[in-house]
Amino acid sequence: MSQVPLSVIFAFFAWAAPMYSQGAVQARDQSAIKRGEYLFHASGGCSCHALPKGDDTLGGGRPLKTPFGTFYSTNITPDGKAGIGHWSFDDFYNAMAHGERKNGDNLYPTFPYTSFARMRKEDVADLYAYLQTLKPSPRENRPNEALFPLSLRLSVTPWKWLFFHPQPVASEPKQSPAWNRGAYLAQAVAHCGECHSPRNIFGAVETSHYLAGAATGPDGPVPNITPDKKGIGDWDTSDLVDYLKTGMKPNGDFAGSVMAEVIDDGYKYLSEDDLNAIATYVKSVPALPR
Amino acid sequence: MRALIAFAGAVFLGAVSLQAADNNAAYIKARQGQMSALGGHMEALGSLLKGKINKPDLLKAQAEALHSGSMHVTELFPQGSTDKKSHSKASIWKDWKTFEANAADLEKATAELAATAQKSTDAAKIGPAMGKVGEACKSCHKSFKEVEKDAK
Repeated sequence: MSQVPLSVIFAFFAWAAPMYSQGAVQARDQSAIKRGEYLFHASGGCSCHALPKGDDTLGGGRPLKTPFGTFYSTNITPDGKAGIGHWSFDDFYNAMAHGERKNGDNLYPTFPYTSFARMRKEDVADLYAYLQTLKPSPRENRPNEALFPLSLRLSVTPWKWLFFHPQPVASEPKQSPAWNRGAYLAQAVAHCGECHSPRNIFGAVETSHYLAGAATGPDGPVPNITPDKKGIGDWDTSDLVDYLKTGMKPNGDFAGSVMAEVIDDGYKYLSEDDLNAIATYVKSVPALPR
Repeated sequence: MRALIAFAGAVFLGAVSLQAADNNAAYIKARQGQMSALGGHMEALGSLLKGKINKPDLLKAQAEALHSGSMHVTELFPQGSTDKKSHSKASIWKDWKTFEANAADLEKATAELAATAQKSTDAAKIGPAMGKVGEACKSCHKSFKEVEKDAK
């Protein structure tokens, strides 16, 4: 070994080092992608970004009817022109945490960045890594049909001043680790409150009535899922776990339409522990009649 | 003369469609009853399994009842039979072939569950068979049933 010149040894490592670090990077990427896939499922599988039938990409175009107009979901596939393939992580993080497009324009809060802004940055990074592995779609984004002046993205700026002040999900030391995990998943990732909470006339979620149901949602009225008897008061934690896993309600009925979609595309893939955590948290929110 | 025949025809068709509209409510109630019954059997079976209640005859009977209750679903969905009370989506009649296929899947899955229960009421066998029934329920509801208005 001492016969081999130092220069050769250095040269060998200089040659081998990129492969070693590339391998390490690849291993790191793979684990980020795996974690990102799990978070993707925890968020409900981004079903809003797929057409309800016959679509195997997240090419967008699904309409969301609101009192402010009809908004169309966007292409979040890695297509370099029609999707977000050309978006850096910073661009993606800006969308999730600040509700801004790549060019700095506001995103409409029909995209629930009000919840996603509360995700940990490293989780957003993993999600980004996973999304970049999906099947690209060339589908162009469809223009929204919002009434003037809401058709101007600038109109979202005062809305953000009033209603968009995201805080990370606070850790509650008095609660169990499971409750805290459930609080993070439910509030920031699964974003139950975006559909299941009522909204005021400006379209902002009424946090005082968290999960108490909404008169209009993406698919009609949305149920109260607080522990009130008008909600899921007579559901066990294990009933809620079963529902998120299989779609079956305690009375033997099965979830329909968009709720069946988010179960199929997302929540059914979560671990037993995480489903228990979400159920523990949801069963603990204030019981409110609708 | 032609006008008279046309008028009589219109009155007749009007009467027939009025009757169909009246009957819509009956069809809707009938199938809601059928679906509730299926839910009841699923609830019973699920509880037997979850509670580890070892009553093979009871389980077999419920599985049989679930199967016979799951037949003829499509017959209670005549063209356009939906109203405010119904949770049926218009897509049922736009996509009738898929609706029929979903109903056939349900009959097949409940038949398999009943057959499995005859051989063994072991949770390890019944669980997956019930899972297949659940998938059939969910799959049809995903396409053709409105999202629930309340959590009951």
